[in-house]
Amino acid sequence: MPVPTEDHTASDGFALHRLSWADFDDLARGVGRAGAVLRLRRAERSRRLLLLRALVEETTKIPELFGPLPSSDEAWELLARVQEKSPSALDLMLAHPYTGTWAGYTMRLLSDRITGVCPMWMHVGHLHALAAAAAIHAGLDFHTHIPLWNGGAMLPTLGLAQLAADSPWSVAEVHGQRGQVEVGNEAASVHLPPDLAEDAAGWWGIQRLTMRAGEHVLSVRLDDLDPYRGLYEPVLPQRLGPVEVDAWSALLDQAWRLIVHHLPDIAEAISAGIDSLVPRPAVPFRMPSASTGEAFGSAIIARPPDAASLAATLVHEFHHIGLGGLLHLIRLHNEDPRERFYTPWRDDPRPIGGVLQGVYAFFGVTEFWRAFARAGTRTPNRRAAFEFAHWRDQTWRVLGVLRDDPVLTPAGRRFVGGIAQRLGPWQDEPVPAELRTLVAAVGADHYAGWRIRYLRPPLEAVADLAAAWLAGRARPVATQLDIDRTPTPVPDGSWSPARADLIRLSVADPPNDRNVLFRTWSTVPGATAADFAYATGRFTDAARGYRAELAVDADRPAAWVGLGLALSGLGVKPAARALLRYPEVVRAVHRTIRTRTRTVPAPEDLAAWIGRFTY
Amino acid sequence: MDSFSADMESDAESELIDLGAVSMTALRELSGTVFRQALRHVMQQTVHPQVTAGGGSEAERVD
Repeated sequence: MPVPTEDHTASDGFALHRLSWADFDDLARGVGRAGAVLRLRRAERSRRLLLLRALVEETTKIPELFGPLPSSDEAWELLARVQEKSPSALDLMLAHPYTGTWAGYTMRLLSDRITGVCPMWMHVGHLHALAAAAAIHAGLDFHTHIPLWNGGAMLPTLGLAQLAADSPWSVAEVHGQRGQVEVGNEAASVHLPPDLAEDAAGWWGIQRLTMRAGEHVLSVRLDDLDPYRGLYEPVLPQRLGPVEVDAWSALLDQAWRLIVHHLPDIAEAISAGIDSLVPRPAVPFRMPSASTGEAFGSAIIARPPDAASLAATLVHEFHHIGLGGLLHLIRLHNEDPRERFYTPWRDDPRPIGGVLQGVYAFFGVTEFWRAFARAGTRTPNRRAAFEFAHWRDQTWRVLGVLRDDPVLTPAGRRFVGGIAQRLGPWQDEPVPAELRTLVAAVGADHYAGWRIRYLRPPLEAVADLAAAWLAGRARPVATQLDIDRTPTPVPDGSWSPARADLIRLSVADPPNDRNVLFRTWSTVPGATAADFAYATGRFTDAARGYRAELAVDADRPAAWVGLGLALSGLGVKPAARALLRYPEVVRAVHRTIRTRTRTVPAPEDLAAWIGRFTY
Repeated sequence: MDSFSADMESDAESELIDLGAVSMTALRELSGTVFRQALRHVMQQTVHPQVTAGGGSEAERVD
């Protein structure tokens, strides 16, 4: 049946979603307004409707897929009733981020003809849970059946009724009448409370946190219940306690104030783009967060240590969400799953899709810290200045590689060019010299750590170098090292980010006051005495410490790179250059020599020898 | 194949049909070549969902 086309381009009577290049360029430059985000949301709505239709069509072919639950027709009819009474209730359910992840996950199961975490009828039957929740929002009188997983009956966007159940997978009945809702099975029933966000006997409500800063409002669900809130597979509830909810509330309140204060121009867009957060436990010295393009509006975030970290993470995830929506409309790169890029924000090689996402997200992070640093009051914010300088350098470095990649489409090149328009001029903005040195060290540390684990030097060159060393030659003949090789997917050794963590601790201190670093360095996971010596500028002690670490484990990546950093700090240039530019070569040659002689060379002697002819 | 209009001067046009004015009842009955293409397009997009995760090592993933 043809559809009215309004003002869009018609195609066989259907209108197509469009995006103006002005909106596209604004999104690329990180200045997209709420209107552009809402247009992405409208496209997501259409996309989810299509997926719903596709799912129903696929499952209608095999009625037994719904197991003990009613057919998809029943759920569809309820959704149609919801739309008639309250279109906004249907829209709310379609906009729910985990409607998208559920649809994508279930479609993959159906396409691949495999079973997921639960029996197939539990996954396809989640459609009834969505319809029931929409009916509750609409205030309809209704009756239906929904899946019950480990005794939990999820009503998306609302909460979870807890019932006794003999089986991990069973069915609950839901009755709604005159605004009263009851969820039950043969063993128990739960009457939902008038305020569904409140907990009650047998009911966990999804809490909504609303933050206000001036005229700007951010309102998000803190969703610790929805089974489709994860990235890959359905997950069981992980209910937060009241203390944790309070902590999140306080952090979000402060973070929102920081965003509104420092980035007022995009606060409205962030408010339009984020409506659900999945809280995860804190991870010391790390700030993990994640999102998926299927869950437009949602981010999974580990509880951060402070409001500034959370603000930066919200901006980061907002960029991922926006780009995820854009990629559903416009292809920015062709399919290329090869993991061939270095990125400073991940320890492993990345494919072009991940690189584009990372460049855009860390462009946002850079903008946040830049604004924070520039807001400098009487005491300049060292941490903000450090993070700004670090992320502008590193994002620019990766963007330089990305922008010329032939896998980008013309639109992709335009998008990356838009980022560059903003990010480029920031490269010249002044940062205190002391912080620039630390930023350079953190960048060199991570890059060398990636090379030593993921790049395999040419076997022939390694053999030539080992033979030349053993023959006592001043240099080998015609050895070519400066070839960018394709990374391998399997790392040669593990990595520790401890040095970067220690440097960040030192940055958090006022200059010449290292109390925090001295007090807490030993709590940093994986930190060694040599790392601590390096972070406190005692390069001779650090070099001695890394030599000792290599004497115990001659393959340890962090010790080879640490030795290079310490020697760089001491001005020992040829050895430092080889260890930071070609650490994979130095280690490989050292390994080869170890297999051929009992006289193992000192790591820095070998590095200095290689460093004499590498640049 | 690029999934949008190559004309950089006009708006970027996607392969996604706009269902903003379509009721649930009508959606159930839609058919035709363009609609089928649109269904295939979104189904194809679910094969490789975009997932981003960062800020932690493998042992510290939040997913």
